[in-house]
Amino acid sequence: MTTPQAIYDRLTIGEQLAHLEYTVTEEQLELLQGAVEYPQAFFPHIAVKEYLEVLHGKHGPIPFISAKHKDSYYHPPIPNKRVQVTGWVRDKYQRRGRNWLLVETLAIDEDGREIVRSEHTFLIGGLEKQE
Amino acid sequence: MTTKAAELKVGDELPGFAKTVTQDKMDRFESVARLAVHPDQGAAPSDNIHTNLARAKELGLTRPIASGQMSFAYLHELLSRAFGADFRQGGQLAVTFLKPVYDGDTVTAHGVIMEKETVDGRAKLRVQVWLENQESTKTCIGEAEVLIPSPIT
Repeated sequence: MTTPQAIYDRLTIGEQLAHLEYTVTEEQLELLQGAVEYPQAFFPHIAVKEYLEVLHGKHGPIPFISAKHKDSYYHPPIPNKRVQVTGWVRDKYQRRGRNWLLVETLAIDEDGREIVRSEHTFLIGGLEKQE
Repeated sequence: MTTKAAELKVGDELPGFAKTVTQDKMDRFESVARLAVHPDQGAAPSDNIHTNLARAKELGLTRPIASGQMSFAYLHELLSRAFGADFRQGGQLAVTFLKPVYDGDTVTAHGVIMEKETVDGRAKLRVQVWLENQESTKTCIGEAEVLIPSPIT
């Protein structure tokens, strides 16, 4: 089994991660709106966690805890349009005996409209300190 | 909405609201990703630290925690309610997660205008935002920026 430390070690800054594509559907939107109790919630990417999917898509499941997230919004997604997400490793560093990873993603739709640019900082491996 | 939001001043508070987090809502939130990425598997929730006790314990947690993205969604709602399309098209939100949010917790969303300036004829607002749980502990903090009217059409 690959350890979180081994995954952290093989990640490189600037590395391109997996490509993600999905279609925004009314069913997703309704599920999101019900989960957060806000009928006008229409950025399902917040729940899709694109940063995680592009990382998992290349390196497999990685245990992590979220530390920070930043979004810059351009256009809301349109139902029944394909969303294409590219992601890359923006930074990795060790602090206080723990491994941190910053992944950046850009989501655009099938017409080339930018939807959102995101940055997500992970604590890789959870609360246990790495040896 | 835009006209009213543009009249906000430094120190003004955004209208807040409270949300009670439940395991059912956490499960449904995690289902959105499953539905998007693995639509063939239906809307079953993903098996992770937000839905599964064993997975949570593997990471040193005592029980499942709500995804940080749920907290992010609440703050997104706070700003969407206040600024509408000006936030959803051109806004920015950055959040640091401080404390876990668990099944049964009630979090309240807060926002305060920290800075306001005029940039190219638009009102540029910097807003401090945070969630507070039922014990008045901040579970996450962040900052947002919004231009009114948005330059993105």
